[in-house]
Amino acid sequence: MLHLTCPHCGDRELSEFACRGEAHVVRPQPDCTEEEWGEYLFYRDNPKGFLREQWIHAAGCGAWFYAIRNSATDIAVTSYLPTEPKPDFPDATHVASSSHPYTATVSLGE
Amino acid sequence: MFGNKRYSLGKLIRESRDYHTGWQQAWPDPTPKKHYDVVIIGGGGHGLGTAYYLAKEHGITNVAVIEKGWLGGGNTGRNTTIIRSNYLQPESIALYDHSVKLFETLSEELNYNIMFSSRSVLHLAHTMHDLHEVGRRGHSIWANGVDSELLSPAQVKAKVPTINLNTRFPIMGGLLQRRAGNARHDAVAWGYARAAAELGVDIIQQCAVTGFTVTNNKISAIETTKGNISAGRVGAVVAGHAGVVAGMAGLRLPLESFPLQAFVSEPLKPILDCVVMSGTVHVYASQSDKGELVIGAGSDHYVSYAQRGSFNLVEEIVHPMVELFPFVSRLRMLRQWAGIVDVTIDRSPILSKTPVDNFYVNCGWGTGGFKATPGSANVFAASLAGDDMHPFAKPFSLERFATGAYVDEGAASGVAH
Repeated sequence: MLHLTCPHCGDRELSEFACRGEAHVVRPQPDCTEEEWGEYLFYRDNPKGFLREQWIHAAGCGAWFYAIRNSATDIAVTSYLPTEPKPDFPDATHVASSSHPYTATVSLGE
Repeated sequence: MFGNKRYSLGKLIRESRDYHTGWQQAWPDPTPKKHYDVVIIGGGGHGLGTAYYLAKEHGITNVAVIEKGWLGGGNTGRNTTIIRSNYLQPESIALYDHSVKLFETLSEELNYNIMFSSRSVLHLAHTMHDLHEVGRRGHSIWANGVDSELLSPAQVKAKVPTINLNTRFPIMGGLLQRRAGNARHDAVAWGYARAAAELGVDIIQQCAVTGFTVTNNKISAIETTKGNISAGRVGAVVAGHAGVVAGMAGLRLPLESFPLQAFVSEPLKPILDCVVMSGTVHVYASQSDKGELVIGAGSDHYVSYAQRGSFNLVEEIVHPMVELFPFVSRLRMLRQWAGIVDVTIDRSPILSKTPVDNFYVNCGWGTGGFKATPGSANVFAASLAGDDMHPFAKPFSLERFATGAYVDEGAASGVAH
């Protein structure tokens, strides 16, 4: 992954962005248990495959946005704003058939 | 142990005379049995070591190590081989120093030269804050009975003559642990594998775990690409993929997996006889016995399982290296790679039972697992063999993420360990 798409500015170099971790983590109610609070703070899905993340266009427009990326291949799929509906994950065949140069090296080092 | 397979100078001389025709396979390649007392998932140093100590110290020899790829092909073969125990918290010092002590005698114990070299590790301080940090940490280490020395800039220069003291953040001092150093990482995995196999452990490579059958809150069967295996207890020691394997048992872990990159340069004459680390400019380097500079730095900034790392981090690693050692600017790098490290919020590992009764995890070593290999394996084996977790492992349980009793090494480690 060398580039990422900002919903406002379009396709930009990755070095302009900062990753801010898993997206859509829901804060529990104040009367939650310690286990629920620990879960909220520290437990993450950390999937090998598609995931939704928060990014900030730090050296650009400064916007926070969400992106869908495949953590096994580092191929970013789509970006969207918090005000937009969550797009679905693409099916695996869509990514496998894409012409992205990294596709050929997906299984490297596994 | 080993009988006539034992490695020795006499054996080497005999084999030289006999044209090296008498060497035997270091460990067999068995087909998995239906049932084992303990199954270790993950054939890296920690996993193989756990199997070895289970057989050696606890008499449990009906053990299998299941490895998806080849032995030591994950982070065991991808790290920068640094071994040290100069941590801040007493819980960490106990665990890591246990490991350093085991490393010191490991070659003799395993009859395998792991090339442990206590060449010392030097942490650089570049700011007043750094000086305070190494001072605080140095005192904490002394108080826990581990060696540690504070150095002035002149002493740093005397220890590492090639270093440039007048960097953008000038070097103001350093923290030295003389017992620290490094070892041949592959040899640690191979030595443990050979010794464990000799004691009856089955080492099964090219065998991926695809799922678990959980009945009555116990793992009743491990589904693998070589068939189903049942086990009394299951230990997952899979580093970056800890979350993936735990997910198969329906668990989530307080971890995120990041790539951690390393570089190896072309070979040089001896110029660096200790390990140099800097948390502030963020790089660490040592010179291998072949003469290559082995260079590492911080982990990548986003979750990934792709073992290559992000490109812009290459520049972040080269910058401080050239700053500290200006001659590096004309050095060519031969190899670059990444390993997937599983990072916890307090930068301390997880050695714990889980909500699934017979499922244990040894993970979360983050960017610094290699140094802990023998200690982690020894403690995890004792925990798998007994009713309770080993005393050294207890502070590192999963419960700390709910109780708040973290073992906070995040700031103290400074640099990726």
